[in-house]
Amino acid sequence: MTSDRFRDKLSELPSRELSPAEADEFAEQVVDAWTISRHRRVENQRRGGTLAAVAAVLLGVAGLTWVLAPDPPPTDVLDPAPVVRPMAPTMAGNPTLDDDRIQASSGARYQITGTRSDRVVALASGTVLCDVDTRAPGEKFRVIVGDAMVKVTGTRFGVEAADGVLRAVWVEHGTVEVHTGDGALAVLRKGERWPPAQAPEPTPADPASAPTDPASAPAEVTPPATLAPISAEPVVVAPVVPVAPKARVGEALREGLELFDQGAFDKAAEAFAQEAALGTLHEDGLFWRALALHEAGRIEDATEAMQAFLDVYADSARAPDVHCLFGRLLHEQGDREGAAPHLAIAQKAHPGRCDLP
Amino acid sequence: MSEEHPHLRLVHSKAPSGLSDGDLLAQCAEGNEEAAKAFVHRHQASLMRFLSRMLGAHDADLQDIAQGVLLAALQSAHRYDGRAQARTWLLGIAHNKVKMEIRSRTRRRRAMSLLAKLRLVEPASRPPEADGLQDANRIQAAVLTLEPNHRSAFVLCEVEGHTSREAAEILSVPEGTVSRWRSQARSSLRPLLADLLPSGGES
Repeated sequence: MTSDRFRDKLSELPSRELSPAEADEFAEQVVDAWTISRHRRVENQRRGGTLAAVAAVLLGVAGLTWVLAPDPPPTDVLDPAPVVRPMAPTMAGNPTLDDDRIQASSGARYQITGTRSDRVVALASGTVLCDVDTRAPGEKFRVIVGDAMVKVTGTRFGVEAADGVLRAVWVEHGTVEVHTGDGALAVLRKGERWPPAQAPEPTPADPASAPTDPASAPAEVTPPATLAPISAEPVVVAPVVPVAPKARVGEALREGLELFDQGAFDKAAEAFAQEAALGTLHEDGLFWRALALHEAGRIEDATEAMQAFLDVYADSARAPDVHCLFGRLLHEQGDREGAAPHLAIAQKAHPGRCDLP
Repeated sequence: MSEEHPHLRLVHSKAPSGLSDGDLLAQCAEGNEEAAKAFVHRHQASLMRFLSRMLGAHDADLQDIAQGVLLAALQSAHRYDGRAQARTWLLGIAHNKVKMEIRSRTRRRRAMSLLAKLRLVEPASRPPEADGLQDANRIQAAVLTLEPNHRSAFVLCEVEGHTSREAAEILSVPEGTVSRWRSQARSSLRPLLADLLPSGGES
């Protein structure tokens, strides 16, 4: 038998109790949240029904146009217009996710995870067309393409990838900022596309997976759009290390943390990059990769990784700590001017926590 | 409390207080706010007690987590089929929430520990030394060190008084697994509570 003294003590374990007034308020809050969630769900169902009807009409019109057209459009002709073709679904229909709509080309390989507050489309190959409802502050919609990420707060845009590499981005409405690994920045507005004409043409897609139905063909990359200067409210394409992601969310992160604990920082950094590439724990992956590279003494890589984190997650709760680490690193490298703004942000967020040694 | 929505038929009728949990949940599935309130009132105290023992009575997020559990239950009311008792079903939801919370905290602790090592943040304040605590607080502190599944099995059976069979239903695992988790929990607690939990102590 468990000792009597122990059994007696178990019954004395402290417990939080609410007063009657607190219990009433507690219940009110739960029921309020429940009612709001029901409103949202019902409204989304209603909108989803309307959107499905519109989509059905569009598909019908597109199908009729295709049947009546004398010749199918040659596939090597670049399409000057923004893409509005309906694309065939690859999952159980084109998913409508709350107020977001995602269409994918036939043969596209992608996975959708997360909720409205942080929706992630992990695209391996093919084309997705995303109609993203405007996000509230703190809510995110991201398309991960292995070595890049497109983050939006409300627009309609398309992304094409091949073998885990970002191939094209085009915008039907809203504004998209493209930030490539070489530091180039460009803003795409309605009807514009990336990459520009001087960039190498994308290699032909795998014939086996290429769509044959013109109505379901992914967007062609058009001649260069005129790229506008950087604007506010960007969509950031942030580079991460291109790697083959682990199959399950969280697996590489766990492996990375174990390697980190063992002091195998280089291998840990690789694991964290894999997790970031998978998408759902992208922030965790980027954050830990930066720390692992720092611990590994790979200063240049660590600096780049911290900048990549801050580019995408400037508003994250972890950002002040990354600013602090980044500022210290720059300071140690003798770049006091570069360090100052990072240290200032860190010190403002957590006074006294990021003083220089 | 809420304005009537054109696409939502909210039912505002009073839920008789004598309704069973199953009837209350059926009315919740129909959108009856009074039934939802009655369900929350009926279960909040036992839920708070369970969460207190799983996460510590002074946990800052206890109330938020309890609200999250009850919200998830109300949102899933239409899935409740009455095969298990509503309290069992609710504690199953709570167990899953607690597991997720503990994992998330573990990740945060790792980050904080590393940042402290890098002298970016002050080390987290250490828990008070066990020697100076009352026995109950010592036990609570020790329980908080248990792995989530072991902790749930221990709290449900040893503290809340559920049978292994009930705990198995709550945790959605075979009864043998619950027994193993309880045993592993006691083994983990023994070195921490040697004076209270003698080496021969088995229930």
